Amino acid sequence: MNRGKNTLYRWILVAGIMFSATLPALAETSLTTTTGAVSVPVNPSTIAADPNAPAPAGGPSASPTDMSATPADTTMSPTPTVVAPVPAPPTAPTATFEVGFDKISSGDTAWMLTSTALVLLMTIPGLVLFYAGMVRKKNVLSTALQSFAICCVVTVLWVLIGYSLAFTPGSTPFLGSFDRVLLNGLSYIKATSQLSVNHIAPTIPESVFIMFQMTFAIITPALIVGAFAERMRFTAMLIFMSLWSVLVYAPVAHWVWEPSGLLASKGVLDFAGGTVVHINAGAAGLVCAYMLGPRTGFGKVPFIPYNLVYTLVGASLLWVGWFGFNAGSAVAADGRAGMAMLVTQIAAAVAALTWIGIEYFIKSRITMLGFASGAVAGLVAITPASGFVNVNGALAIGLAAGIFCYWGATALKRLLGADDALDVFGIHGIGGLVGAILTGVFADKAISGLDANLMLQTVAAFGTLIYSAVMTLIILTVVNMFVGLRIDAEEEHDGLDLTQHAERVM
Amino acid sequence: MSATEKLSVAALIGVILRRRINRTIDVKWLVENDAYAREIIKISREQKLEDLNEYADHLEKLTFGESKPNMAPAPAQSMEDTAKADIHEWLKETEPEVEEKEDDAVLDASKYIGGLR
Repeated sequence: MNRGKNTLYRWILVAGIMFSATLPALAETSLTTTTGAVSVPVNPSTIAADPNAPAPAGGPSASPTDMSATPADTTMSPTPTVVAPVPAPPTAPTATFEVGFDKISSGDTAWMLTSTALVLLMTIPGLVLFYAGMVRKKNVLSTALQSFAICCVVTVLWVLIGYSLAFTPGSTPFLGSFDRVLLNGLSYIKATSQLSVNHIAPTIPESVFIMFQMTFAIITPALIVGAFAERMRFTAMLIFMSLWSVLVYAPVAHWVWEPSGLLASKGVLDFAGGTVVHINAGAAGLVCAYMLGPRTGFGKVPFIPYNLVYTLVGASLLWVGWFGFNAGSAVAADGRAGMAMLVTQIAAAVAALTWIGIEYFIKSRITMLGFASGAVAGLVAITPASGFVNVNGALAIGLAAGIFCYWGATALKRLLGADDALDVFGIHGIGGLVGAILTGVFADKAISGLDANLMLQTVAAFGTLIYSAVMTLIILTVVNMFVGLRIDAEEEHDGLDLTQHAERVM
Repeated sequence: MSATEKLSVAALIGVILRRRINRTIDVKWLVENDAYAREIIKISREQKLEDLNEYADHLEKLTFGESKPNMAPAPAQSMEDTAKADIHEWLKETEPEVEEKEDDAVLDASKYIGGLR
C-alpha cells in the first residue's frame, strides 16, 4: 500500500509540474478568448441562459442550425396562456429568477423530464449492472449497493448544498454561493402563475433543472466505485462520497457550467460533462486505487467476473441513458439536441468497433466485454463534444476513444501499477481527456457558433484532473484517519457481501 | 483455508491438465469433493511436471492441511456426500457438455489475472 501511495505522490508531482508549466499559456489564451465581443459562456445550459441577449449559439432560439425554431419562438411549443405574461428582465439574468407559467416551454420541459429519467437510469440500474457483472460473486451485492447508496446520499446533499454551490453565481469564480441552500427560493406558485427558473435554463422550471443536474451529481461519484471495487469499507465509502460530492464535484461543476465559473468564463467547452463527470471521476478513481492498494491476489490469481451478461445489459442501459445525458444537455428540445444525439450514437458505435478491432489484432479474439467497453469509451469521449461537433468529428472522436481507452485499460494500467479494478481511469479518465481535448480540434462553429481553443481545452482538462486527484487524496487521507478505508484481509477473503452486508448471492 | 485461493489453484490445475495431456476435469467438483481432489492430485503428480506438482501440493495443502507424502485413504463419506458424488458422476456421463462448458470457463480464467480487459 505504501508503494502505491509513493507512486501516487510521484504522479501527482509530475502532473503538478506539467500543469504549472502550462499556466502562462492558459492566461494568454483566456485573454484572447475574452477580448472578443462576447466573453463566451460554454455550457449548453449556459448558452440557453440568456433569452434576450444575442447568444452566440445554441439554446432554443439561438442555434444557427436549429431549423425547428422561429426567431420569435423561444418556447418551441408554447403552453396555453393562463395569465398575463410577466415582462422579461431588462438585462440578461445572472441568477435564478421567477417567470410566469407562459414563459415555460412545454416541449423543452417534456424533453428535460425525459432526459432526467434517462440519466438516472444510467446509474440505477445501468451502472449497477455494468459494475456488478464484472466483480467476483462474493462482491456483487456490495458493488451494486454502493451505486444505489450513492444515489440516495447525493440526492440529499444536492438538495442541501450541492446545487447552490454549483449553479449559483458566487463571490469568486471558484465556487457558487449559499443562496440556494436547502433549495431556498425554489418556487412554484399556482395562485400567481409564477415559478422560478435557473438563469442557465430559463425555459424549463427550476425544479426540473435541479433534478436534471442532480442525476449528473449522482452518476459522477458512482463511477468511482469501479476503481476501489471489492475492498472498501462501506461506511468509509459513504463518508468519502459525501465529502467528494460537495468538495470536488460541486466546485468543478461550478467552474465549467456556471457562466461566471472559472473555466466557463474563459471559454472552455464542455457540452455534457467530459471534464466535470469523466475526467473528475477518472482522476478520483485512480487516486482511490492507489490509496486502497491492490486487492489480495491481484496479478496472481484470476478474478473471474460474476456475470458479463449483466455488464452488457448495464452497458446497453448506459448507452440509451446517454441520450438523456448528451442530448439533454442542450436543455431544450431543439435541433442541437438532435445533433448531440446523432453524434453520440456514431461515436459509441465507432469506438466499440475500434476497440474490438484492436482486440482482435492483438489477442485474436473478440470479446463481449471489449464491445461493451469500447461503446462506453466512445460515449465518454463524445460527451464534452456532443453539442459542438459534426458527424466527421464524431467519427474521429469515436476512433480516438477506441484506441486510447483500450490503451488506458491495458498498457497504461500496467504502467501506472494501480489496481483500478474496473478501469475507471482507463476508460473515463482517458476517454474524458480525449474528448475534452479533441473538442478543441473538431468543434464546428456552424453548430455552436463558438470557436474552440485547443490549448485552453487541454489546460482545463488537466487542471481538473489535478484538482480532483489532489482533493481526493486529501479526503481519503482524512477518512482513513477516522474510519479506515479498507476492510481487513479476512473480510476481503470472505467477500464484501457477507462481511459488510450479511447477504450473499446464491 | 481460502475458498477463492482453492478455486484458483484448482482452475490452474485444470488448465495445465487440459493443455498438457488433453484431460478435462471438473474444477468445481475438485474444490467440493475430497475424494475427487485426491484423485486429481495423484494424476497431476504422475505427470512429473514441475508447475503442476507445485499446484498439486498447494491444492493438497489447502484441501487437507499440510502436505502428506502418502495420502491417507479417503475418509468415510456421509450418505449425502456419496449421493451427491453419484449424481455428479451420472451427470458427467450423461451430459458431457456440462463438463465442456466448465472447462471453457477454466481456460478463460487465466486472462482475468491482473485485469479484466
